[in-house]
Formats: sequence, C-alpha cells, structure tokens
Amino acid sequence: MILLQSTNCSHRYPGQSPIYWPDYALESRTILGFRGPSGCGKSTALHTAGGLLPLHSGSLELTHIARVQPGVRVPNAWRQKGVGWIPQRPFFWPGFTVRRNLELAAWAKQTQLDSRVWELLERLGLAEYRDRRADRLSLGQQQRLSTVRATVGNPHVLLADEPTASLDDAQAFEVMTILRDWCKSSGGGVLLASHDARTLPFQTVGIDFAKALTLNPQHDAR
Amino acid sequence: MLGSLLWGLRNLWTRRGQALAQAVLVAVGMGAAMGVARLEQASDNALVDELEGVDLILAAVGSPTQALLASVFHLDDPTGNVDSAWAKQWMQHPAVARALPLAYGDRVSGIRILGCTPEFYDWKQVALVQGRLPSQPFEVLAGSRAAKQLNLEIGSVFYGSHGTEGDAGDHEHHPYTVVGIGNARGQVVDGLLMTPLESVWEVHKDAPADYTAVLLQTKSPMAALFLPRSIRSSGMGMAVSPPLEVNRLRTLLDQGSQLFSLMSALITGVALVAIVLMWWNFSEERRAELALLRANGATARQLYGFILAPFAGVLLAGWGIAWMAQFVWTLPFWLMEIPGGQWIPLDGYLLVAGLLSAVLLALVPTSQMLRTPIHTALLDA
Repeated sequence: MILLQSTNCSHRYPGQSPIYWPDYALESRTILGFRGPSGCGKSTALHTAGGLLPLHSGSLELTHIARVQPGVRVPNAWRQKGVGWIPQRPFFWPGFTVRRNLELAAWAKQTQLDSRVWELLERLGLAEYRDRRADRLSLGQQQRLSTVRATVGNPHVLLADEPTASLDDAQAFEVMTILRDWCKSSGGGVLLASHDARTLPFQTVGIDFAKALTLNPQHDAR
Repeated sequence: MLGSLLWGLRNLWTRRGQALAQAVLVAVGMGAAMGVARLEQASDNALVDELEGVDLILAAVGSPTQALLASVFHLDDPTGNVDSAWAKQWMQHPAVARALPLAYGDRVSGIRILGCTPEFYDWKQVALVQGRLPSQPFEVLAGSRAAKQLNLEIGSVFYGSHGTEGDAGDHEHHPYTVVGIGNARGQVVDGLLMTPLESVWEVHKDAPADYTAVLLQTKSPMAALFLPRSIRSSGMGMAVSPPLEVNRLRTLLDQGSQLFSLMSALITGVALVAIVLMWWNFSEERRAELALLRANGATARQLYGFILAPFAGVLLAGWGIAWMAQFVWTLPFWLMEIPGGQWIPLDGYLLVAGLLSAVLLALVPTSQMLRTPIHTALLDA
C-alpha cells in the first residue's frame, strides 16, 4: 500500500528559484532513502512531506489523511496523525523525564500514549530510565528515545533527517535496525534523508537527489 | 486548554528558582499597593471611629489641626487651656446636645493621664474588664493597652510625672490608684489613663481649674456650622470642626500614599518586564523544542496555553505571596489595629489585573514563536 505519494513537487524559498525533487511513492513497511550530498534538497523534500513547508508545485498525498497542493493548507491531522519526526540531533524538553517527554509529544499530537510506545521503550532497553531526565541520557540512548518519541500516536510515516549523523557505527546500526523493525511491525513507512553510507543496507529504495535534480525533464519542460 | 496549562506549569517547575525570584518581585510591587490601601483604610476607619459624635472641639486659640490631634488623637500637645467658666456657657448652649470636658494631666512613661467626666466613658463605649469606674479623684480607669504596657492591675498605684517622659517624682505626693481596666476598643482610648477632672486640677493646684478642650456634639448639623463663629467672636477660644481638619490631614497623607502607590506600580512594572523578557528568552532558547512540538501538530491554542501558564503562575504566586505577607507585616502594627487577613477590593483588582496582564503578555512570546519557521528552527537544532 502506498502511504505517501509525491508528484511534481517543488518548494520555493523566498527570493530564490524553486527547488524540485523527484517523484516518489512511499510503500508500507519500507524505508525510502533520500540520498545525495548536503544542500541538494533532501531536507526540503522531507520538511514538505512533514507539512512544514508549502508546495510551490505538484501534489502530495498522505493516504487516509489528505492530499495537498499549492495554496492548500496542510490540515493539522497531517502533523498529528500522519507523521512522526526524528530530528538530526536528538533533543528533549530540558528538565523533563523520559516519560514526560513522551507524554509531551502525545499532548502535542492530542493523543494518548499507548502500550506500543512502552513496549518499544522496553525493547530498546530504556524502560528503566523512564523517570530519569531525558537530556541527561547518553547520546545513543537519546537517539533511541528520539525514535520512540517519533512513534507516539502511531503515525503512518516516520520522517528521519540524518538520524545517524552524530552516531558511531554501533549506534547507527542500532537506530537503523529500530526503524526497520518499526516498519515491519507497524506497517508504516520511513522517509530517510541521509548521506550516510551506513544507512544504505537498510533502505528498501533510494532516490539520488543530486542526479535526479540534473536529470529532470519533466520539470525542465514546465 | 487545561492540559496546555498543566504542561505550562510543569515547564515552569523546571525553572522554579527564576520563577520564584520573579514572583517575589511581583509580590513586592503588589504587596506595597495592598499595604498602602490597608493603611489608608485603617486610618480612615480610625478617623471616622474616633470622631464619632464629635461635631466641634472647643480649644484654646492656636492651630486647629494641632487641637484636633491633641484632643481626639492625643498625638500632639494641646494648644493651651480654655477658661472653664467661659467653656460652660457653650456647653450649656441650647444647640449643644452633649459636652465632654477634658483636662490633660501628666504622663506616666509616655502614657497620658486624661481628666474627664463619666460621660466620656459612655461616649467611648468603654466597658470594664475588671473593677469599676472611677468615682473619686485619683481613681483611674486604665485603657486596655495602657494597662498592659504599664503592667497595671486593680489596686496598682502610680505617680504622674510632669512634662516629658521619665522625670518621675514631680508629683509624688499624689498617687493614682487603678480601680478599673477597660476592654480593648481598638481606639485611642485604649492607650489612656482616665481619671476624674478633679484629679488633674488637684495635682496642678497652682493653676486655675481649666479645661484643655471640650468635645461638643451639636443638636443639628446647622449648629455645628454657626457655633464656631460665635465662639470665636467671644475671643476666649476657638471651635474646631473635625471634618474640615480631617480633610486637610487626609490631603497630606494622600500625597505620601500616592508616592508609595507610584513606587509599587513601578516595581510591579519592572517585574512584568522581567517576566516577559525571561519567557521571551525562553522561547528563543527552546526554539527547536517548540518547533518540534509544532511539527508534532501542537496548535497555536495549545502553545498559547503552554506559555500562558508560567506567566499566570508567576503572577498568581506573586499576588499570593503579597496577600499572605499582610499576616506578617501587620503584626508590628497591631497597635494601630490593622486587621491582617482581611479582603479589600484592591486585592481583587490586583488579582484580575495580574491575570489579565498574564493573558496579554503571554501573547508576546507566543506570537514570536509562531512567526519562527518550524523547518529552520528544526534544522538549527
């Protein structure tokens, strides 16, 4: 099943020419990698998929949620129920415990924490830290927690922006394994923006943004 | 919204030290305003109570304000004495309903011995806690505070001292005996030692048996208006109208309290600015965290509640501290009978104003945050 489909999409930053990216369709239980060096539009495509940047052209459809086009406002359900974010660097609300940080995400998404979140926390060996301050965990633990937090509200799609950038090999492997397992168990999909070669074995499909941007007859013909 | 406020308070808790400092600043500002209002109210009440039933004061020619302060509040030296024969003309005037002649005696450790007639006790509604009312010269009814301060009991004997405090022994051949102790009235009378007029005259045998002042109650308000002129024109004294003098006094007091109110408004203003700055900085520092909440779908309303709660929390805590503080700061003023723990309208106004300013001020960091693009805030993290 296709979870997220992007057709002829572009975004235009103020005062700049539009950035186009290749069409893609994210299937259930897969990890779709946006590849390419920094500055080739991976993050822009990812943020657009997250409903954080408006479309300049094309259409973006999040199954069961909405289809957006230029000038169409992204509904709140897109962010609350459709997607979950894993930022590049894990960060948490300072002073809040692991549990509170998960509850805070649930509050933002206007949902409740369900047993799946606690199970995942358990499986990742973080259950014993649930009453510790999240900002005092080790980097590896924080990245794992960040991933757990993204699954709050059981979204269709996880959006991961360079999730392995600051991790050593073992930690990077661990995070990618978590993402793959989550896809399989939840039926969701992962959009992964990364230029880290260590993530390649985990990507079901990959799109090279650098190449795609130069070879884009569809957009050039516009 | 409740959930948002709860999260805002949890967030406030992570900054409790700073928040407490701000709440204390708010409390100083609001507390000053509450204090001024209470003092004003207490002094107004005191003025009204003390002057109940006094329409005119007959006194020796001098400063009317001084005469008022001396004869009713016992806060100043009298303007002099009035000839008792002359005063009696006015006390028996058909327009006068009641006359209370007073003669100032010596002081005992700063406490006034007041010569008066039995009607004075009625007028001041002094009830006896112990003993009886004085009937003979040198018998004394001690006001509740005077008795406490001087450790007087029924049967206690003391001597008056002329003039200033402490130089006892001047009139040692005239011992006073306490025969009664009055109840606490919360008024000036509590701090007086009352004795028949004759005791005072007896001590000062060398001087004529004059009155220091006479408190007059007239039969009609009109009488209180026309009598002063006749009294003045007779040339042997003056009649002071307490309402006129009180207004004059109040103008003086008001200038002081206005300055104080201005200061309290300034302090509160500084506190508010500090709060806005703190939460402005806070939403700058928490750019990424707030952006992630928005990326997770938190609505503007949720975030407003989240930011409003700490504002409201700090202002409420400040107000609460200020209000509770009155129990402490009024303690040394118990002599002035400012009741602690009392609710006055200003408390309510300050509470509402505090909450309103929280509602408005929270808009500042909220709108600043909503103007920040989520994607750049997330990328900067």
